[in-house]
This record gives sequence, C-alpha cells and structure tokens, in this order.
Amino acid sequence: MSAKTMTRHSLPSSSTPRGASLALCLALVAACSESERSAGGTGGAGPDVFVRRVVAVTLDGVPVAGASVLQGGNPERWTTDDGGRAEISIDPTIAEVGEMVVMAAHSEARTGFVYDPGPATPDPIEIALRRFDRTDNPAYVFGDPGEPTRRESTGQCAHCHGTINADWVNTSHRAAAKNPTVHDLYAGTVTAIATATECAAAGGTWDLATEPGTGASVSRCHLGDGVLPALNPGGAPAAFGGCADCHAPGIDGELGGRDLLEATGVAFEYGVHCDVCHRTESIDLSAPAGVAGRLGLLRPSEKPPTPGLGEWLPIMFGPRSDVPNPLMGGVERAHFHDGRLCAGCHQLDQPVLVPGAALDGDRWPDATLPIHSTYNEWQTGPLSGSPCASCHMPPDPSVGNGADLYNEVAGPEGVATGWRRAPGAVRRHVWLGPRDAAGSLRKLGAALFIDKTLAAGEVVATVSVENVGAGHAIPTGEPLRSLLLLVEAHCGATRLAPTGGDVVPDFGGYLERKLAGEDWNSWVAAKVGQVVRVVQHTGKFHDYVGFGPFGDGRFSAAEKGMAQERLVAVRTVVGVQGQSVSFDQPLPVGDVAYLGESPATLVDGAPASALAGAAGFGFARVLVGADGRRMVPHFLAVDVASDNRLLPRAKFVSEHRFAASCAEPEITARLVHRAYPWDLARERRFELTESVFAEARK
Amino acid sequence: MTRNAALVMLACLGCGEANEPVAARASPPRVLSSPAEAVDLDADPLVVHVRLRAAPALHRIGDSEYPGFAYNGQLPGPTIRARVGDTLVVELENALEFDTTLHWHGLSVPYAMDGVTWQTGAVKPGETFTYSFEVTAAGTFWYHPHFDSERQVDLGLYGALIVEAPTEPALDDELVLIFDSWGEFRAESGSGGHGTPGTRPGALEPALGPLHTNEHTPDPGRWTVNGLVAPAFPSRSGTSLRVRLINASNDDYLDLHWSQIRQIASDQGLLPALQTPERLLLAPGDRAEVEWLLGGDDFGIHAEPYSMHGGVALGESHELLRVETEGSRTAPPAPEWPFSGTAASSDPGSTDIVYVFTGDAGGSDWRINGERYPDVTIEELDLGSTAVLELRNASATEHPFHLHGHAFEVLAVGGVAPAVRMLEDTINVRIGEVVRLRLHADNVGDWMAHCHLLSHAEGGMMTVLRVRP
Repeated sequence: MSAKTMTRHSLPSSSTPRGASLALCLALVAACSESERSAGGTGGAGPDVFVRRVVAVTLDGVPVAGASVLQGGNPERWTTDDGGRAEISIDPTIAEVGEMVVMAAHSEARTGFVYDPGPATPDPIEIALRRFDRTDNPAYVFGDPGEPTRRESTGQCAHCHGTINADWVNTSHRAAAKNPTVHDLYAGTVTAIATATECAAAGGTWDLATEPGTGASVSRCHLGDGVLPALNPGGAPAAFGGCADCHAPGIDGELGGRDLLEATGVAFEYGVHCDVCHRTESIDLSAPAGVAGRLGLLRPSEKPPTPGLGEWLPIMFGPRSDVPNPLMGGVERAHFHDGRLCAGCHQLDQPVLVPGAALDGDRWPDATLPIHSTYNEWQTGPLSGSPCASCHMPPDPSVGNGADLYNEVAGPEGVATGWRRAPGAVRRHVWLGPRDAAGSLRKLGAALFIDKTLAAGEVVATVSVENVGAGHAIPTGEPLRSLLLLVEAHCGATRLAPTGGDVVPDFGGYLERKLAGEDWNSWVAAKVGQVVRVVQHTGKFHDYVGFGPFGDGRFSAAEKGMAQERLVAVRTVVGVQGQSVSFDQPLPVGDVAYLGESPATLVDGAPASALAGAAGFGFARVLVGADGRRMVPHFLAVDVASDNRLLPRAKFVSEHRFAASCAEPEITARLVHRAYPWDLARERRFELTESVFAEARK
Repeated sequence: MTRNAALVMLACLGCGEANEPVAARASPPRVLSSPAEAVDLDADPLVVHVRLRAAPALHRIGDSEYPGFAYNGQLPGPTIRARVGDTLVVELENALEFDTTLHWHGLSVPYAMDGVTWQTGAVKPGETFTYSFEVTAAGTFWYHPHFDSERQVDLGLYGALIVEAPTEPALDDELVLIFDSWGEFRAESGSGGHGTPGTRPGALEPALGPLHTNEHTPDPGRWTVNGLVAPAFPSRSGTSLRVRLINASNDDYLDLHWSQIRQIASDQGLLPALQTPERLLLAPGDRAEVEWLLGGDDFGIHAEPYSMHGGVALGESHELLRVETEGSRTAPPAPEWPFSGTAASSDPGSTDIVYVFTGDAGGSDWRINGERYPDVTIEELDLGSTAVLELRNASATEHPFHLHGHAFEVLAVGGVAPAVRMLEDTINVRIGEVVRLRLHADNVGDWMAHCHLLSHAEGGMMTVLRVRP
C-alpha cells in the first residue's frame, strides 16, 4: 500500500472497513440536502493530517506477528500481521510537544524505535528487535536511585525521573531496609534504649549486636523477641525468616534467603527501590515472597554493543511499551498494571518458623498461616477491577513524562526520545496509605454509623463499623496492626458511665490483667486516675465473616476465636498504698479485670492508651505464639486465633450501654488505627499513637 | 455497506422529512450570542409550552462538519425560559433512530418527568412524549438525554433551561454560555450505564474517530462555546451582563479565569454572597452565574489545563472566547442582588449514607460502593427526612457527583466547611477527598445518583437513592 496523507476526517486506525464506511457516511450526509444542520462557528486550525506509513518489524531477523507498533505520544496502538507489518497513522502534531518516534514492542525484546520517521514514503519503517537474554546475572550491581539532592549522574534514576524520585524517596518502600522498628524485631533489640543501665532497668541485656547498614559491632539492649534469636536459638544465625527478601530485596549477589543485616549501601539506604521493582520480569505467585522467587528479577547479563550504555546492556521492565531509550531498554510487563507486582510482597503465607514448634494440621491443612493477605483480600473482593495503583499511586497530571529532567528548563518532553503523555498517565510513586506522612486514605476506608435509643435512664448505642472504601481488609498487611472502636456518651460536658455492651478486646492494651478468683484489689503498678474495667464472658463467640477459613465456612464461631465479652463496669482508682488499691465504687463481679487508662478525650495523634475492656470493639488478625501469647510478631506465629478484620464492604455492629442523665445524650464513636500492639510498643519503646480513621457523633 | 453507513443513510432519509430550518452551509461568523430561545406556544402567562425535536444534524465545528444530533436543528438546543411557579410543558419528538429522553439537570421534578429509564421507559423513535411539571426554583439549569447519554450529549443534544425569580434585578443584558468539548464519546468504552446493555447503536461512531482525544486531553480546538470555536462576544462598554455558564462536556473540566470573576450564583441559583474567586472550576454538568460589568477593555475567558486525573495539569492556557467591548464608558455599578447572607449549616457529625467512588484511570470499571449500575443496592430515605451523605473518592480520577430530584447543601469539602451556604446538585470530588452533603428528602422517587463524567456513568458509576412516601 502506498503511503499517503489523510485529513483528520480519516481514521487514526488502518481499518479499511471503518475508513470505507466513514467515506460513505460523509458522502451520504453531504448529499442529504434536507438534513438538519446545526449552527456552528468558524475558526480554529485547519484540518490536521496523519501520515500513513507501513512499519515492518523483525525479531532476531524474522518478521514477527503480534508486535505492538506505536508512536510516542499517540494513544493508538497497532499490531503486526503475520508478515510482521502494520500500517499506522503517524500524528505529526506530536512534534509540537515532543519527539517524533515510531516504536515496536514485543514481550521478548527491548522496545525498538525509529527516530523522526520523516514524511510519507512508500518505504516501510523497519524496526529490528532482538530477543533479550533471560538469564539473571548475579554479578550485576544494583543501581543507585539517587535522591532529589543527589542526582548528578545519568546512572542515577533521579537524574531523569526527578518527580518520581522525589515522591519515592519519602515512602516506606524507600525506608524498608533501614526501618529501625524492623531491625529491632529482627535482632530482638530496643534501639531506643541507649544505656546499659536503662536496659537493665527495662529487663534487657546490654550486649553486642550488628549495626544495621554498616555491619559494625555495636552495643545494644537485647530485649524481647527477634527473628534472629527466635529462629536461631543454638548459635550463629542461619535462618533469617525471609525478612530481607522483601525489606531489602536489592542486596547484590544471590537473590533470596539473605540476612537483613547484609543490606548495606544502596540495599540498606533505599530498600525497595527503582532497580528492584523495574527489574521484575515475571511473577510466580506460587513461589516464596519477594526476591526469593515470587518476584522474578532479571538483572542484565548482556554486554552492550556500543560504549556509553554501562557495563551491562540495560533492560528495565515497566507498565509501558513506549520506552525506547537505550539507557532504559524498556520492556512492557502486565504485572505492573494489575496487582501481581504488589503481590510479590503483600501476600505472605508462612509455615511455622520457630524451631520445634508446629501448627495445627487440622486447622491449617496447607501447613501455612495467612500472614499478609492483602492481595488475596483485594482479588476476591468487589474492587478487584481497580488495581492497587488506583488508590495507592494516584495520577499526576502536572507531569507529562516520567522522565522529566527537562521539565525544569525546556518544557514537558522527556529526556531523550520523549513526548508528553496524556494527563494522568504518569502515576505518583507515593504508595499512599494511612501511615504515610499525610495520613492519606485514612478517611476513605472505614465508616461509622450510629443509632441510639433511650429508655429507663439508659442510652443504648448501636454502632456499625463498615469497610466502605478499601479494596482489601482493614486493617491489612502487617498483622501487628489493629483497629479499635471506642464509644463514649455525654450529657453536655459530663461523660456517662458505661453500663454494658461490647468491649475493646485484650489487644487494646492493659497495664495488668486479673482473672476471676484473683485478688482484684491488689495491682502492682496502679496509679490514681487509672481505671479497672470489669468484663464478663457470655460463653458465646462472635460469628463474624473474616478472611479465609474465618469466613468461608470452615471454622465454627468458636474456632473463629473471638469470645463475646460484655462490659460490667468501670471503676476509677482513687487510692494506692503499695499494691493495695481502692476504687471510687466497689468492683463488681466479672470474668476479667483490666487495669488501664482512661484519657479524658481521645484525639488524633495522641499517645496510645491501655484500653482493653473499654466500651468499643476491636479488629485484628491475632497471631498466637507457641507459648500462647497473642498478637505476636509473625515469625513467632503457630496459629491465627482470630481474624475479624473487615473485608471490603463488610460491617460489624456492636452495642454499648451508658447510664443516661439527660434526655438527649450524645454518642461519639471513633475508630482508631494502631500500628503495633500496645504491649509490644511499650516493651520496645516504639512510638504508638491513636490514629483516628473515622469519627461520628449522634 | 456496513451497518454504520446504513444507519447514517437511514438517518439522512429521516432528515429529508424534517420540517426544520436548514442552517447555511457556509461557515457562520464567530460572533457569539446566546442560543436562540424556544418559542412559548401557550398564551397562558403561567405556562411555558415548547416543542423539542431531537433529530440527526450536521454540526460545523470550526471548519469541519460532523454528523450528530440536535434539538430543533440548533446547537445548543433552544434555551427554555420560565419563571418560578410556571408550569413547563415540553413536547419531545424523537426523530432519532434510537431511544432518547429528556432530563432536567438540577431541577426538582416529579420522578416520572425526570427522564431516566430506571423502571420507566425511554421515548421510542418516532414517538412524542410530553414532559410537564412546575418549576420551583430559580437558577441556570440544563436539559439533556439520560439514555445513551455519553453519545447523545456528546453529539449535540443539550440546551439551557433558565428559571427566573421575580426578586432578582434585571441587568442590561444576559448571555448564556454552554461549553462543550467535542469528540469525547467512544462507543467501545461504554458498558451500558445510562443505556440498555447491548443496544448502544454506534451509527455515527466512525465519523467521530478523528475527533477522539488523547485519554481526555482536552484539545483546545475542540472546545466550543454555544457551538463556536474561540468566538468573540461584542458588547458595549458601560454594560452590565448576567452571564450563565454551563459545562455540557461529557468528561472535560473547565478551569476558567478572566480578569475579575464576580460569581453570583452556582447550581441552585443565587449564592448567599458575591464570590470573587481567582478561578472558576466547572466540572461536567456544573453551572455558575457571573456578572460582567464591562468597562472599555477587551478581555478573554481562558481555560487552564485541568485534568480529571488530578486537577491542574501540564499544558497551556487557551482562550475560549473573547469579550470585545466597544466604546470607552466606565464599568457600570454592581447591581443589587438579593443575597441572603445565609451561613452554612453545621455538620451534625453523623452520616446516613456513604458513597465511595472507585475505578482506575484509563479503565472502564467505575463503581459506587463496589457496585456497577444497574446492579446496585438502593439506599432509602423517608420523605421529609434530612440526611447526611458522605462522598469519598477512592479512585484515580475526580468525579462530579450529581443527584437527581434534589438539591443538597455542602457541609464540608475535605473537612473544611464552606464559607457560605452552598446549594448544589453537582459537586466535584477530587481524588482522595471526602465531601459531606446535607440532603432534605422532599421528593418521592428513585433518584439517580451518579458521576457526571458520562463515560464513568456509562461505566457503571451510578446508583439509586430512593425517597419513599
């Protein structure tokens, strides 16, 4: 077919039937002298032109069918036929805002291109693709992503991808390998304790440890559980829990099974960085998480044919087929569009890791426990049509190209062979979440609805907590997270005494706990102003709908593990003599008494309080250790006692009673997120605040 | 002959039977004026009776012609003008090859008159349906089909509906500006939101191919004002004008600015006080009214690049229209508007209904509360009740939320209460934003609640709010 120019009245596609129908359509309309015609205006530019060209694509010298052919900046896509050819319509107006580049993309080759294809000619545009070597190269050294203040080298991603880098550098992904909380849980240390004296007072042991990031031998307070001591009780660490496979995936050399403390340099400083994610050539969801197999990294192994491309011929994987820059070696992969890349780490089914411990084979026939199940929660929910990025990587319409070096000086084009992409095509690399600096998404997931009735001097509040907006359970991810519902009632400024109803479970935190039969007037560390919350077990269990066996019918209510607890009364400590405590009113009979705190008001960002037994409820995946402890870190887990986290669109309704002293008591419900269990945070001195996700009054 | 061509031929055969004025083939001048008004066929001063004929039409956009549709052969359709308390009677003749309806965007009308096809029928080809209702609120409204909307609105079926209040001052002149961005509809992108799944005819689709824009990148050359590209509005200095602005675009936002924006009204008539924002954002479906107090200086109405994918976008400002003033008289004094000064209602803190918007940029799966219309959960309110609606945008684009049959008061946007009472029927919800609305359920019916990005509504982002007797 000869090359020709067509006016804007032609189709951008090479579809002959559509073009023929269009011509006929226009002819018919023009001949229809009686047709209604709308008033319209003149002006505007004259008709634009497309340049029709044929593109011939070969793969290793052989014409290849099914290759994508595209023009940079043009949303149209064409596919090569059995002869390796595609007839395309080049939009010359692209030149006004970018480079004129025609490309061909194939899943087995780096995107090839022809720069400035020129005017219409009968000669085809020839693009020769070459299969890339699919052998991962352990000798490759992961690249430096750079930072906004350190981007002088073209070897740094930040050099060209300035906006994306500036977003990424402040994320938890970037800090994944150097997160001090992770390292304390890895090594069994408390970094916040700086002296041997303080360590001894806390019950720890001041001893040598390996400093994260440097490998240096330093003194640390060894206190509490840790991956290394728990999994290697006998001596030199040989089991590392797979932590580094996701937290420090960029450790050079062998992939998977590495010690987190091997992360130094780029691997430590930048955690989950550009050169890890964009080296992911494939995903194997059946393989161990992270770079231990699920993320199929392909580090370049080919020598470049020409100097200037580095030691290895570049290859990068991403969501786009239109990245022809030789310094990138772009290859499109679908797992960047859907949730599978995220599933590389945000889905973790784990066997028991602690030596000598075992899980209940009847309860867990697959011999693994669901630890992180965010991907599965999303995949089986009603929002699986919206990929993770739709919430966590919002578009940035102010950026025309991910490679935006020249934004600063010369306009919106990319660095080389670049063009302006449609607004929103560039996604922010921020991974918004409730725990980012801005608290993004906190207000979108959960909703609270309140109903109340007043009778016989008692107000009964019915509170519905619903996951209306998250595509996965809330909370999700790390099982140390929890959500607490806290319900209060007021008559004016007077806070009403709770008289019954659902309560915050034990993972809401307590200073001390006593069971029936123990001396409830004796508390080791009570202080005036603290409270004792008395709770009674009904003997029944909440039959909630949770994730996996907690919702698919495999577990009975009892096996789902959430005993129904009812508040009996709350008493305030008014006097302390030694361990002998007196209260404002006598303690009633109950099954459990929690000594806790009762903050006057719960505000967003306030330090977390011990709230077990308070009027409210709680939502968490409760992991249990071999010693029966609850809410343990996942490397200690031998069971999941309960998992009542709210799946997408799921709701839980609780009831709360208060003694009413007015005709219109006001009910306040708050849903707060906690990053760690209260007792763990207290032991390890992690900063723990009440992060308010939702609040309602009625 | 392809199916598409055959359908166009049928459409043209229908055109031959039309008894409507035929616009001149030559390029009309770029002089802007308000759309011609519909003729009131009823002598009763309390009744406005007009006829609208929806039929194929050939639109001239810039220097090019595009097959589309029009009411009474006019783009935009005839402006309907009424006064508060009037009975409006509109005979709609469907001279299209497919079903259509008329929806009165922003007006509170009886459910049977709302022009939707949820549990009611559309107007079939060749049929005439008479809409009749009392207009109860003053303001700038518009009408458009609510069936196959993405296609029919994009191809020209829309017009203004002006409801006047006797208490409002008359200015020297009035100008109705209906903005539209051409070429947004892509037949293959729809999924049966407004229309009936599987029956979306694509007769004119090929002719729109060249107009396809780049993932909602508004091409400045495709914006029209009353059907004109970059027109000029001639006026005299010393003149005061009431300017009514309507964004009839399917999916494109207007981030407008000019030398001095003096906003007097929004969706639901006069604001409580004059507002002088630096920019005026009109999401699809939005309206606003401003006053122009013209001195001797010409000025342009500019649109800044704004994307549904997050707002202010990369690109260049462009002039949508130019106001050319003749003479050197000074600007007239500001008219005395009967602004109420009403403060915004306080937020009660409780929520009755939450609508969460989800979907990804570039996708076609658009949901409210995880559901795609028409498979939706119907929220219900009792007639006479007052409810708080909370809108949450958990998607990758902005969404102009539109509720039928009711106006609502904006309680808070992103946690911030408005400075003055805002009564709207369409409100934009930015990415990640939470908007709280106060709704007085005073109109019985199954009311559509949806994103007014018509591609999103077609993609399923629509639900039903029932007000029960």
